[in-house]
Amino acid sequence: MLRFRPWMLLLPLILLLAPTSLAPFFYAIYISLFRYVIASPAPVIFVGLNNYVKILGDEMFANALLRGILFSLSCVSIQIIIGFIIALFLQKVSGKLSTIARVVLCIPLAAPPIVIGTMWKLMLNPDVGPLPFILRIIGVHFNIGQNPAHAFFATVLMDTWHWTPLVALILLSGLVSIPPELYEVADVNGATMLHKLRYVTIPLIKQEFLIAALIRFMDSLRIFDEVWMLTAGGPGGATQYLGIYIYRLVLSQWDLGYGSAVSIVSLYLIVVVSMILFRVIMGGKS
Amino acid sequence: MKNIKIIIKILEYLFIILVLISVLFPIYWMIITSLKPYADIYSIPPLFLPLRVRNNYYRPFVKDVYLKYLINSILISFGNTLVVIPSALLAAYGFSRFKIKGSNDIYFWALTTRMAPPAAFIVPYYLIFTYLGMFDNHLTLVLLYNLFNLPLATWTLKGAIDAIPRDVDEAALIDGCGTLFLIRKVIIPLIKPAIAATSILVFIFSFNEYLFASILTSVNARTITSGLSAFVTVVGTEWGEMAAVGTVCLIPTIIAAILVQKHIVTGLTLGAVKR
Repeated sequence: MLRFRPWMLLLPLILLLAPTSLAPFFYAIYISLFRYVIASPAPVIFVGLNNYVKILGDEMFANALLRGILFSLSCVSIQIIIGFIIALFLQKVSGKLSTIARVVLCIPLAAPPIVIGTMWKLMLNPDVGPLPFILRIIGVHFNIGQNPAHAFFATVLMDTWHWTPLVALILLSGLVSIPPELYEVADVNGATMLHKLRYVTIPLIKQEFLIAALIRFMDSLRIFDEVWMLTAGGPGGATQYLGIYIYRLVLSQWDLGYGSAVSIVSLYLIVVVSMILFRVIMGGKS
Repeated sequence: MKNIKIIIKILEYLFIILVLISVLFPIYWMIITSLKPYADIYSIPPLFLPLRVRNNYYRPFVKDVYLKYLINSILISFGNTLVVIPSALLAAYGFSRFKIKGSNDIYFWALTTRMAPPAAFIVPYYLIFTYLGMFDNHLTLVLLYNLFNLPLATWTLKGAIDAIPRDVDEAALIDGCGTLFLIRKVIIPLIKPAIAATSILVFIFSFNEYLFASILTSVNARTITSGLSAFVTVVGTEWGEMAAVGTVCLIPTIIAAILVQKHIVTGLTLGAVKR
């Protein structure tokens, strides 16, 4: 019988992750070197790095990338602010309401993203949604199918509903770990509430702020399902973030070669940016 | 002074209640839409309480194939959980107890799968699984969902194993136990609650997946979440039925939110935040 070695414990993990992550990654690199359009009479030919050169001049790609970054930054900043306010209030509330609040806040986090897209489609559709109806009363003709700014706003609103609870719960885990004596000392010194926030609370939960921002930034760059259901990238590419652009290249235009090149570049951009942020933020830890 | 304190307390509670209403309202709206007749869905002003009830669940689940999709979802999620938990348990124990050469690289690798945009995988997945004749096959999704669930489960379980003192292992090893025996007889009983919670999370994330299921299945292995987009058609949207199927998709979510809410944040942050 084989002698036990510690690395053997990792074998199942490696054997299961390799075919689902490494193999497709290298295969995508291989495909990206070809001109490969399904259902096109043109033959599949080796084009080397041509697909990558094409990305440099691709306005749609630049649009997807910039809109995606704008979307991420909007989501992160809004969610951090609202999440912090909710966390501060959650900490004050106790008893049954606190238990109920934690359960309710977890519902968006555990819900299928595609269902979240469905819910917000029902909420925001100009024909059937309650929100456009209310906005019409105050004179705003909210139409996510025609107005690019409205569609962009709708995706940010949906994402804020979806993920602010996570930010709030992360920040709350930091808030409850602050020793109460520190606030007492601040009280003795006559600190106002804003002083306490500025000089005690925020510095002490800096790590939680960074983790929340990092996770939200990473995940909002990857977004697909909800936006696909709500706006499908439209109107006019206003919400066509990277994931949706790739999906369209591959499954509407069937341009697998170029689609692979865009996939690889997006993967690199997102993973490298995420990794740098991760190293910087988690550097002290683990 | 005392009155002001009471008023502040009330305002704090009211604020939280307002937050909860904003979280619950879109869910409420979907549920009541699932009960409205077609004409009432379009009513102006919108009906915040259903006037008449129509069973929008009947056609998709009884006449159409959504019951089969639901069963597919449950089978695939269950299958994936059965694959993920034992492998994650072994890996978590390895990462927690040994200095393994290259374990940092494996950690890094697992982390990148968490960061990678899922859409970047659709070309290779589509080509590989079509080539292997595994298109529209339950096993394909059971295998694929390891991509995001295995790292998640490994890091939640590692957190639980880290909390067990090493003396416990050593005592068992002195008694002459093998490592696998030790994991089975000592570690697993000690972290049963964490294993249960992780299983539920893994099940939920499999159940929730949309993109891969929608490109890799058609009729046979289609899951309920990937069937949702079928209600948006060129001739219009079947709002009521879409809401009905969406509501059913939320049942596992609600169960998870009640049972394992403490672990959801840990799982979503890959263990960076504990509770």
